[in-house]
Amino acid sequence: MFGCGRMKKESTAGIRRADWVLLAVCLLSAVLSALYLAVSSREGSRVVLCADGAELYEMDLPEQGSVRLLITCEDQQTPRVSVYEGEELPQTEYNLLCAERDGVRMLSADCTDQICVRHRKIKQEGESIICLPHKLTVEIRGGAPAQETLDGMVK
Amino acid sequence: MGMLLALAMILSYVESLLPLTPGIPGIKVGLPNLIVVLLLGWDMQSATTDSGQWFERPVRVAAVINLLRIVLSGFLFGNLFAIIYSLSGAVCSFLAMLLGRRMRCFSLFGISVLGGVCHNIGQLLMASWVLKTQTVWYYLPVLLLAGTAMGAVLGIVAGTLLPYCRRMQQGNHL
Repeated sequence: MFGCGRMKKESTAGIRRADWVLLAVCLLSAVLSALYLAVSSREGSRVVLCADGAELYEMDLPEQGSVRLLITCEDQQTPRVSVYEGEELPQTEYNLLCAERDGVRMLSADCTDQICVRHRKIKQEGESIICLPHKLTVEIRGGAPAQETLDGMVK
Repeated sequence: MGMLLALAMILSYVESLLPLTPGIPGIKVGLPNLIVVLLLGWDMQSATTDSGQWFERPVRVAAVINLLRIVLSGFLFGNLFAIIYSLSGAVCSFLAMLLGRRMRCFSLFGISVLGGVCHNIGQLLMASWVLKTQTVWYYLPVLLLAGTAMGAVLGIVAGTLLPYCRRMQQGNHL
């Protein structure tokens, strides 16, 4: 076989000007869109649950303590949302959500990839946790208070 | 070709073991894409060499390997959703890389970056379509950044590997 010393350094050194331009454009657009989001985002006060694009449920984030929501779905039907109070977890498809004043996170779910459970807590308006296998999105919104709330009139 | 597919499968498996989910979904190294980038790079240089056998059509081989790898590894390590999302990302990324190659002003490095970025954009498009929501675009900045970085890394790795592959082929070791 040939010796390694005869290797030509053609490929790694072959980065051209167009490559750097492309790299710069990509990084710049990432930074710009991040800046846009950072500037335009505010802390949200409501959490909205959507399944398959349709709105399921919305509530204000609790002022104190935490509210746990259980989303269950049986046989491909429209999911149901209920306040979870430490009963046993259901045998059917479920996502267990914890809403606190400083954000919302997924406590547990029986979905296949567990990406929603590993997702960090969300608080900024427009942020969302998405459970792809269950087609569930949990979104933070701000602005006008929700119509249907659990403790809406306490304020 | 079978060996390259096996290699891509192994890279898929290795990637599924990597704990690269810092609270934000979708960031992956895209290791299996290394095979595709490598084959495209092979194709770019093959005008100068006398390549034989199936290596005469690296682009088709890359497309077939990409498709088979996603379906197979999807059934093995993932689920139907994993297949749908990686397929949309892969198709987007592959077309973008072909376009980049056709433009002839990018080296393998630039093509790989293009592929990485477009993979993520393809997945976002699919996610926003399946979920019927626009909120997924919140991930765009971080996915752009990740796609660029991973594409750059893969491009450099592929560019470094390519001369070795060529010599292996010349020595009939492939």
